[in-house]
Amino acid sequence: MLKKRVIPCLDVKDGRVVKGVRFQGLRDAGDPAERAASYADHGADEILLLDVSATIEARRTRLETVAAVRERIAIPLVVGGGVRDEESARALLETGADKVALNSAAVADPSLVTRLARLFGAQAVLIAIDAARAGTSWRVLVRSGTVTTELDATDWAIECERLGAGEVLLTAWDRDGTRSGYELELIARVSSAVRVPVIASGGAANAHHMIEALRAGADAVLAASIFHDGETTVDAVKQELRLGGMEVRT
Amino acid sequence: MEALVERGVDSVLRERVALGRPTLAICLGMQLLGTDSEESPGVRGVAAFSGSFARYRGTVRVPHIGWNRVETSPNTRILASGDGYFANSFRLEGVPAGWDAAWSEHDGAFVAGLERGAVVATQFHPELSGEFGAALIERWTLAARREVRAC
Repeated sequence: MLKKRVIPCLDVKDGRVVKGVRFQGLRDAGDPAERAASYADHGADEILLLDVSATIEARRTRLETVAAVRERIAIPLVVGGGVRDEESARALLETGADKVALNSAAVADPSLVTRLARLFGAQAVLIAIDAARAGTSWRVLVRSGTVTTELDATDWAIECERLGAGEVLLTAWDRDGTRSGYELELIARVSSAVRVPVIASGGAANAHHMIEALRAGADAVLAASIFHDGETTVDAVKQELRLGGMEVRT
Repeated sequence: MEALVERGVDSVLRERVALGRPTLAICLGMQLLGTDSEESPGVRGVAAFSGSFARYRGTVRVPHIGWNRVETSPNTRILASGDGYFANSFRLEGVPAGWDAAWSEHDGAFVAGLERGAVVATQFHPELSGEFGAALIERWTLAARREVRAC
Protein backbone atom coordinates (compact mmCIF):
# COMPACT_ATOMS: atom_id res chain seq x y z
CA MET A 1 0.00 0.00 0.00
CA LEU A 2 1.18 3.46 -0.92
CA LYS A 3 2.46 5.33 2.13
CA LYS A 4 1.39 8.81 3.10
CA ARG A 5 4.16 11.31 2.45
CA VAL A 6 5.45 14.19 4.55
CA ILE A 7 7.06 16.85 2.38
CA PRO A 8 9.00 19.77 3.85
CA CYS A 9 8.88 22.84 1.62
CA LEU A 10 11.79 25.20 1.17
CA ASP A 11 10.89 28.66 -0.04
CA VAL A 12 14.05 29.92 -1.64
CA LYS A 13 15.06 33.34 -2.86
CA ASP A 14 18.42 34.12 -4.43
CA GLY A 15 19.89 30.92 -3.07
CA ARG A 16 18.65 31.27 0.52
CA VAL A 17 15.69 29.85 2.42
CA VAL A 18 13.45 32.83 3.12
CA LYS A 19 10.35 31.76 4.96
CA GLY A 20 9.79 30.95 8.57
CA VAL A 21 13.39 30.84 9.61
CA ARG A 22 14.06 32.09 13.09
CA PHE A 23 17.35 33.96 12.92
CA GLN A 24 19.52 32.06 15.32
CA GLY A 25 22.86 33.03 13.84
CA LEU A 26 22.97 33.55 10.11
CA ARG A 27 25.62 30.96 9.45
CA ASP A 28 23.78 28.16 7.79
CA ALA A 29 20.24 28.67 8.98
CA GLY A 30 19.10 29.53 5.49
CA ASP A 31 21.14 27.28 3.26
CA PRO A 32 18.74 25.19 1.14
CA ALA A 33 21.12 22.23 0.74
CA GLU A 34 21.82 22.06 4.49
CA ARG A 35 18.12 22.25 5.25
CA ALA A 36 17.19 19.64 2.66
CA ALA A 37 19.90 17.26 3.88
CA SER A 38 18.76 17.65 7.48
CA TYR A 39 15.11 17.01 6.56
CA ALA A 40 16.09 13.97 4.52
CA ASP A 41 18.10 12.62 7.48
CA HIS A 42 15.01 13.08 9.65
CA GLY A 43 12.82 10.99 7.38
CA ALA A 44 11.37 13.48 4.87
CA ASP A 45 9.75 11.54 2.03
CA GLU A 46 10.43 14.19 -0.57
CA ILE A 47 11.59 17.81 -0.73
CA LEU A 48 9.79 20.65 -2.46
CA LEU A 49 11.90 23.61 -3.40
CA LEU A 50 9.93 26.68 -4.36
CA ASP A 51 12.15 29.36 -5.84
CA VAL A 52 10.59 32.78 -5.61
CA SER A 53 13.57 34.75 -7.00
CA ALA A 54 12.59 37.33 -9.55
CA THR A 55 15.87 38.82 -10.68
CA ILE A 56 17.66 38.35 -13.98
CA GLU A 57 20.26 36.27 -12.19
CA ALA A 58 17.52 34.06 -10.80
CA ARG A 59 17.74 31.28 -13.34
CA ARG A 60 21.41 30.54 -12.84
CA THR A 61 21.16 30.79 -9.05
CA ARG A 62 18.11 28.53 -9.11
CA LEU A 63 19.97 25.84 -11.04
CA GLU A 64 22.91 26.11 -8.65
CA THR A 65 20.55 25.67 -5.71
CA VAL A 66 18.89 22.64 -7.32
CA ALA A 67 22.28 21.07 -8.01
CA ALA A 68 23.45 21.72 -4.44
CA VAL A 69 20.29 20.19 -2.96
CA ARG A 70 20.41 17.20 -5.30
CA GLU A 71 23.98 16.52 -4.22
CA ARG A 72 22.86 16.12 -0.62
CA ILE A 73 19.68 14.07 -0.82
CA ALA A 74 18.70 10.63 -2.10
CA ILE A 75 14.95 11.23 -2.03
CA PRO A 76 12.74 12.88 -4.66
CA LEU A 77 13.05 16.60 -5.32
CA VAL A 78 10.29 18.78 -6.74
CA VAL A 79 11.19 22.24 -7.99
CA GLY A 80 8.76 25.06 -8.64
CA GLY A 81 9.22 28.66 -9.67
CA GLY A 82 10.32 29.87 -13.05
CA VAL A 83 8.99 26.95 -15.08
CA ARG A 84 7.73 28.72 -18.17
CA ASP A 85 8.43 26.41 -21.07
CA GLU A 86 10.08 23.15 -22.17
CA GLU A 87 13.54 24.62 -21.91
CA SER A 88 13.25 25.86 -18.33
CA ALA A 89 11.65 22.57 -17.26
CA ARG A 90 14.36 20.54 -18.97
CA ALA A 91 17.11 22.61 -17.32
CA LEU A 92 15.66 21.89 -13.86
CA LEU A 93 15.13 18.17 -14.56
CA GLU A 94 18.63 17.77 -15.97
CA THR A 95 20.11 19.59 -12.98
CA GLY A 96 18.51 17.21 -10.50
CA ALA A 97 14.81 17.91 -10.08
CA ASP A 98 12.65 14.78 -10.37
CA LYS A 99 9.49 16.77 -10.98
CA VAL A 100 8.70 20.35 -11.87
CA ALA A 101 5.83 22.31 -10.34
CA LEU A 102 3.80 24.50 -12.69
CA ASN A 103 1.51 27.26 -11.52
CA SER A 104 0.91 30.55 -13.37
CA ALA A 105 2.48 29.25 -16.58
CA ALA A 106 -0.07 26.42 -16.78
CA VAL A 107 -2.99 28.83 -16.33
CA ALA A 108 -1.56 31.15 -18.99
CA ASP A 109 -0.97 28.29 -21.43
CA PRO A 110 -2.67 25.01 -20.49
CA SER A 111 -1.11 23.25 -23.51
CA LEU A 112 2.25 23.54 -21.71
CA VAL A 113 1.04 20.85 -19.27
CA THR A 114 0.49 18.42 -22.13
CA ARG A 115 3.74 19.28 -23.84
CA LEU A 116 5.77 18.73 -20.67
CA ALA A 117 3.94 15.49 -19.84
CA ARG A 118 4.69 14.13 -23.33
CA LEU A 119 8.35 15.09 -23.07
CA PHE A 120 9.10 14.06 -19.50
CA GLY A 121 6.20 11.83 -18.42
CA ALA A 122 3.16 12.65 -16.27
CA GLN A 123 5.06 11.75 -13.10
CA ALA A 124 7.44 14.68 -13.70
CA VAL A 125 4.69 17.29 -14.06
CA LEU A 126 3.11 18.57 -10.86
CA ILE A 127 0.46 21.26 -10.94
CA ALA A 128 0.57 23.73 -8.08
CA ILE A 129 -2.84 25.25 -7.42
CA ASP A 130 -3.12 28.25 -5.10
CA ALA A 131 -6.78 28.45 -4.11
CA ALA A 132 -8.70 31.17 -2.27
CA ARG A 133 -12.21 30.78 -0.89
CA ALA A 134 -14.89 32.66 -2.77
CA GLY A 135 -18.23 31.98 -1.12
CA THR A 136 -18.90 28.25 -1.25
CA SER A 137 -16.12 27.41 -3.67
CA TRP A 138 -12.45 28.16 -4.32
CA ARG A 139 -10.88 30.26 -7.05
CA VAL A 140 -7.43 29.74 -8.54
CA LEU A 141 -4.86 32.43 -7.82
CA VAL A 142 -1.79 33.09 -9.94
CA ARG A 143 1.36 35.18 -9.73
CA SER A 144 2.11 34.27 -6.12
CA GLY A 145 -1.43 34.90 -5.02
CA THR A 146 -1.65 38.42 -6.38
CA VAL A 147 -4.11 37.73 -9.20
CA THR A 148 -7.47 35.97 -8.77
CA THR A 149 -8.68 34.11 -11.84
CA GLU A 150 -12.17 32.97 -12.78
CA LEU A 151 -11.08 29.34 -12.60
CA ASP A 152 -12.70 27.08 -10.03
CA ALA A 153 -9.98 25.15 -8.18
CA THR A 154 -11.66 21.74 -8.52
CA ASP A 155 -12.44 22.26 -12.22
CA TRP A 156 -8.86 23.36 -12.84
CA ALA A 157 -7.46 20.28 -11.09
CA ILE A 158 -9.69 18.04 -13.24
CA GLU A 159 -8.60 19.92 -16.37
CA CYS A 160 -4.90 19.59 -15.45
CA GLU A 161 -5.29 15.85 -14.99
CA ARG A 162 -6.94 15.65 -18.42
CA LEU A 163 -4.05 17.68 -19.87
CA GLY A 164 -1.55 15.15 -18.53
CA ALA A 165 -0.39 16.36 -15.11
CA GLY A 166 0.70 13.58 -12.74
CA GLU A 167 0.15 15.21 -9.36
CA VAL A 168 -1.54 18.21 -7.72
CA LEU A 169 -0.11 20.42 -5.00
CA LEU A 170 -3.12 22.12 -3.46
CA THR A 171 -2.46 25.22 -1.36
CA ALA A 172 -5.24 26.93 0.54
CA TRP A 173 -4.05 30.51 0.24
CA ASP A 174 -6.21 31.78 3.12
CA ARG A 175 -4.62 29.22 5.41
CA ASP A 176 -0.99 29.60 4.37
CA GLY A 177 1.09 30.66 7.34
CA THR A 178 -1.92 30.84 9.67
CA ARG A 179 -1.30 27.50 11.40
CA SER A 180 -5.03 27.02 11.70
CA GLY A 181 -5.00 23.62 9.98
CA TYR A 182 -5.43 22.57 6.37
CA GLU A 183 -8.55 23.50 4.39
CA LEU A 184 -10.24 20.13 4.70
CA GLU A 185 -13.27 20.79 2.53
CA LEU A 186 -11.08 21.93 -0.37
CA ILE A 187 -8.86 18.85 0.03
CA ALA A 188 -11.88 16.54 0.08
CA ARG A 189 -13.37 18.14 -3.04
CA VAL A 190 -10.22 18.10 -5.14
CA SER A 191 -8.86 14.73 -4.06
CA SER A 192 -12.16 13.01 -4.79
CA ALA A 193 -12.46 14.74 -8.18
CA VAL A 194 -9.11 13.62 -9.60
CA ARG A 195 -7.28 10.31 -9.81
CA VAL A 196 -3.77 11.75 -9.55
CA PRO A 197 -2.21 12.12 -6.08
CA VAL A 198 -2.98 15.31 -4.15
CA ILE A 199 -0.53 17.04 -1.81
CA ALA A 200 -2.23 19.22 0.81
CA SER A 201 -0.60 22.53 1.68
CA GLY A 202 -1.33 25.59 3.75
CA GLY A 203 -2.08 25.87 7.45
CA ALA A 204 -0.21 23.02 9.12
CA ALA A 205 0.80 23.57 12.72
CA ASN A 206 1.10 19.98 13.90
CA ALA A 207 0.72 16.28 13.16
CA HIS A 208 -2.95 16.38 14.12
CA HIS A 209 -3.62 18.78 11.23
CA MET A 210 -1.76 16.42 8.91
CA ILE A 211 -3.86 13.45 10.00
CA GLU A 212 -6.99 15.51 9.27
CA ALA A 213 -5.75 16.36 5.78
CA LEU A 214 -4.83 12.74 5.03
CA ARG A 215 -8.23 11.55 6.28
CA ALA A 216 -9.87 14.18 4.07
CA GLY A 217 -8.27 12.49 1.07
CA ALA A 218 -4.78 13.93 0.65
CA ASP A 219 -1.98 11.53 -0.33
CA ALA A 220 0.75 13.72 1.09
CA VAL A 221 1.11 16.74 3.35
CA LEU A 222 3.38 19.71 2.85
CA ALA A 223 4.65 21.99 5.60
CA ALA A 224 7.28 24.69 5.82
CA SER A 225 7.46 26.83 8.93
CA ILE A 226 6.88 24.13 11.57
CA PHE A 227 10.02 22.38 10.33
CA HIS A 228 12.07 25.53 9.62
CA ASP A 229 11.45 26.93 13.07
CA GLY A 230 12.61 23.72 14.68
CA GLU A 231 9.29 23.36 16.50
CA THR A 232 9.17 19.75 15.47
CA THR A 233 11.03 17.33 13.23
CA VAL A 234 9.82 15.18 10.36
CA ASP A 235 10.62 12.10 12.47
CA ALA A 236 8.44 13.28 15.32
CA VAL A 237 5.56 14.15 13.00
CA LYS A 238 5.74 10.78 11.26
CA GLN A 239 5.75 9.00 14.59
CA GLU A 240 2.53 10.81 15.48
CA LEU A 241 1.03 9.99 12.08
CA ARG A 242 1.84 6.34 12.69
CA LEU A 243 0.14 6.47 16.10
CA GLY A 244 -2.81 8.10 14.34
CA GLY A 245 -3.17 5.04 12.11
CA MET A 246 -1.44 6.41 9.00
CA GLU A 247 0.94 4.24 7.02
CA VAL A 248 4.18 6.14 6.61
CA ARG A 249 7.66 5.20 5.50
CA THR A 250 9.91 4.09 8.33
CA MET B 1 11.70 2.91 -27.79
CA GLU B 2 11.99 4.31 -31.32
CA ALA B 3 15.13 6.19 -30.32
CA LEU B 4 16.64 2.95 -28.95
CA VAL B 5 15.88 1.03 -32.15
CA GLU B 6 17.25 3.85 -34.32
CA ARG B 7 20.58 3.70 -32.52
CA GLY B 8 20.64 -0.08 -32.32
CA VAL B 9 20.62 0.06 -28.53
CA ASP B 10 17.71 -2.39 -28.30
CA SER B 11 19.69 -5.33 -29.68
CA VAL B 12 22.71 -4.43 -27.54
CA LEU B 13 20.50 -4.43 -24.44
CA ARG B 14 18.81 -7.71 -25.39
CA GLU B 15 22.19 -9.34 -25.91
CA ARG B 16 23.79 -8.12 -22.70
CA VAL B 17 20.79 -9.24 -20.63
CA ALA B 18 20.86 -12.64 -22.38
CA LEU B 19 24.58 -12.96 -21.60
CA GLY B 20 24.03 -11.90 -17.98
CA ARG B 21 26.22 -8.81 -18.29
CA PRO B 22 25.73 -6.44 -15.33
CA THR B 23 22.73 -4.23 -16.06
CA LEU B 24 20.54 -2.09 -13.83
CA ALA B 25 17.27 -0.94 -15.44
CA ILE B 26 15.19 1.57 -13.48
CA CYS B 27 11.48 2.43 -13.82
CA LEU B 28 10.90 3.10 -17.53
CA GLY B 29 14.17 1.24 -18.04
CA MET B 30 12.55 -1.91 -16.64
CA GLN B 31 9.47 -1.36 -18.83
CA LEU B 32 11.62 -1.00 -21.96
CA LEU B 33 13.17 -4.41 -21.26
CA GLY B 34 9.75 -6.11 -21.43
CA THR B 35 7.85 -7.28 -24.48
CA ASP B 36 5.35 -4.43 -24.75
CA SER B 37 3.34 -1.86 -22.80
CA GLU B 38 -0.16 -0.39 -22.93
CA GLU B 39 1.62 2.96 -22.87
CA SER B 40 2.73 2.45 -26.50
CA PRO B 41 0.36 0.00 -28.20
CA GLY B 42 1.89 -1.83 -31.14
CA VAL B 43 5.46 -0.96 -30.16
CA ARG B 44 7.71 -3.92 -29.35
CA GLY B 45 10.02 -3.52 -26.38
CA VAL B 46 13.59 -4.77 -26.06
CA ALA B 47 12.05 -8.12 -25.05
CA ALA B 48 14.98 -9.05 -22.78
CA PHE B 49 12.30 -10.78 -20.71
CA SER B 50 8.80 -11.85 -21.59
CA GLY B 51 6.22 -9.55 -20.01
CA SER B 52 3.57 -6.95 -20.86
CA PHE B 53 3.09 -3.77 -18.85
CA ALA B 54 -0.51 -2.70 -18.20
CA ARG B 55 -1.97 0.48 -16.74
CA TYR B 56 -3.25 0.42 -13.15
CA ARG B 57 -7.00 -0.03 -13.07
CA GLY B 58 -9.49 -0.01 -10.20
CA THR B 59 -9.88 3.00 -7.96
CA VAL B 60 -6.24 3.52 -7.00
CA ARG B 61 -4.30 6.72 -7.59
CA VAL B 62 -2.58 6.93 -10.98
CA PRO B 63 0.27 7.68 -11.40
CA HIS B 64 1.45 5.48 -8.52
CA ILE B 65 3.65 8.14 -6.92
CA GLY B 66 5.32 7.74 -3.57
CA TRP B 67 6.81 5.18 -1.22
CA ASN B 68 5.52 1.65 -1.22
CA ARG B 69 6.54 -1.57 0.47
CA VAL B 70 8.80 -3.86 -1.57
CA GLU B 71 8.87 -7.55 -0.56
CA THR B 72 11.26 -10.03 -2.10
CA SER B 73 11.30 -13.78 -2.44
CA PRO B 74 14.07 -15.50 -0.41
CA ASN B 75 16.11 -16.14 -3.57
CA THR B 76 17.05 -12.59 -4.43
CA ARG B 77 20.58 -11.46 -3.68
CA ILE B 78 20.48 -7.85 -4.83
CA LEU B 79 16.82 -6.93 -4.43
CA ALA B 80 15.75 -6.66 -0.78
CA SER B 81 12.64 -5.87 1.24
CA GLY B 82 11.99 -2.28 2.31
CA ASP B 83 10.26 0.93 1.24
CA GLY B 84 10.99 2.08 -2.31
CA TYR B 85 10.02 5.26 -4.15
CA PHE B 86 7.82 4.68 -7.20
CA ALA B 87 6.59 6.99 -9.97
CA ASN B 88 4.79 4.81 -12.53
CA SER B 89 1.41 4.36 -14.22
CA PHE B 90 2.06 0.96 -15.82
CA ARG B 91 3.19 -2.26 -14.19
CA LEU B 92 4.05 -5.90 -14.76
CA GLU B 93 1.69 -8.38 -13.11
CA GLY B 94 3.51 -11.68 -13.60
CA VAL B 95 7.11 -12.83 -13.19
CA PRO B 96 8.80 -14.03 -16.38
CA ALA B 97 10.27 -17.55 -16.23
CA GLY B 98 13.84 -17.73 -14.99
CA TRP B 99 13.75 -14.51 -12.95
CA ASP B 100 13.54 -13.89 -9.20
CA ALA B 101 11.22 -11.07 -8.21
CA ALA B 102 10.30 -8.42 -5.69
CA TRP B 103 6.65 -7.48 -5.23
CA SER B 104 4.60 -4.49 -4.23
CA GLU B 105 0.86 -3.74 -3.95
CA HIS B 106 -1.20 -1.15 -5.81
CA ASP B 107 -4.38 -2.26 -7.57
CA GLY B 108 -3.29 -5.76 -6.50
CA ALA B 109 0.18 -7.25 -6.44
CA PHE B 110 2.65 -6.19 -9.13
CA VAL B 111 6.30 -6.83 -9.90
CA ALA B 112 8.49 -4.24 -8.15
CA GLY B 113 11.74 -5.73 -9.37
CA LEU B 114 13.37 -8.56 -11.31
CA GLU B 115 16.75 -10.14 -10.83
CA ARG B 116 18.88 -12.72 -12.62
CA GLY B 117 22.54 -12.76 -11.69
CA ALA B 118 23.88 -9.24 -12.10
CA VAL B 119 20.93 -8.16 -14.22
CA VAL B 120 18.44 -6.20 -12.12
CA ALA B 121 15.34 -4.28 -13.15
CA THR B 122 13.37 -2.15 -10.67
CA GLN B 123 10.00 -0.48 -11.09
CA PHE B 124 10.91 1.80 -8.19
CA HIS B 125 13.81 4.26 -8.13
CA PRO B 126 16.68 2.97 -5.97
CA GLU B 127 18.53 6.24 -6.59
CA LEU B 128 15.65 8.11 -4.89
CA SER B 129 14.90 5.53 -2.20
CA GLY B 130 17.22 6.76 0.54
CA GLU B 131 19.39 4.22 2.35
CA PHE B 132 17.27 1.30 1.17
CA GLY B 133 17.99 2.25 -2.45
CA ALA B 134 21.64 3.08 -1.87
CA ALA B 135 22.21 -0.36 -0.33
CA LEU B 136 20.61 -2.00 -3.38
CA ILE B 137 22.86 -0.05 -5.74
CA GLU B 138 25.88 -1.06 -3.66
CA ARG B 139 24.96 -4.76 -3.80
CA TRP B 140 24.43 -4.48 -7.54
CA THR B 141 27.79 -2.73 -7.99
CA LEU B 142 29.57 -5.50 -6.07
CA ALA B 143 27.82 -8.18 -8.12
CA ALA B 144 28.70 -6.29 -11.31
CA ARG B 145 32.39 -6.15 -10.34
CA ARG B 146 32.44 -9.90 -9.65
CA GLU B 147 30.77 -10.57 -12.98
CA VAL B 148 33.21 -8.36 -14.89
CA ARG B 149 36.21 -10.03 -13.21
CA ALA B 150 34.89 -13.45 -14.18
CA CYS B 151 34.65 -12.47 -17.87
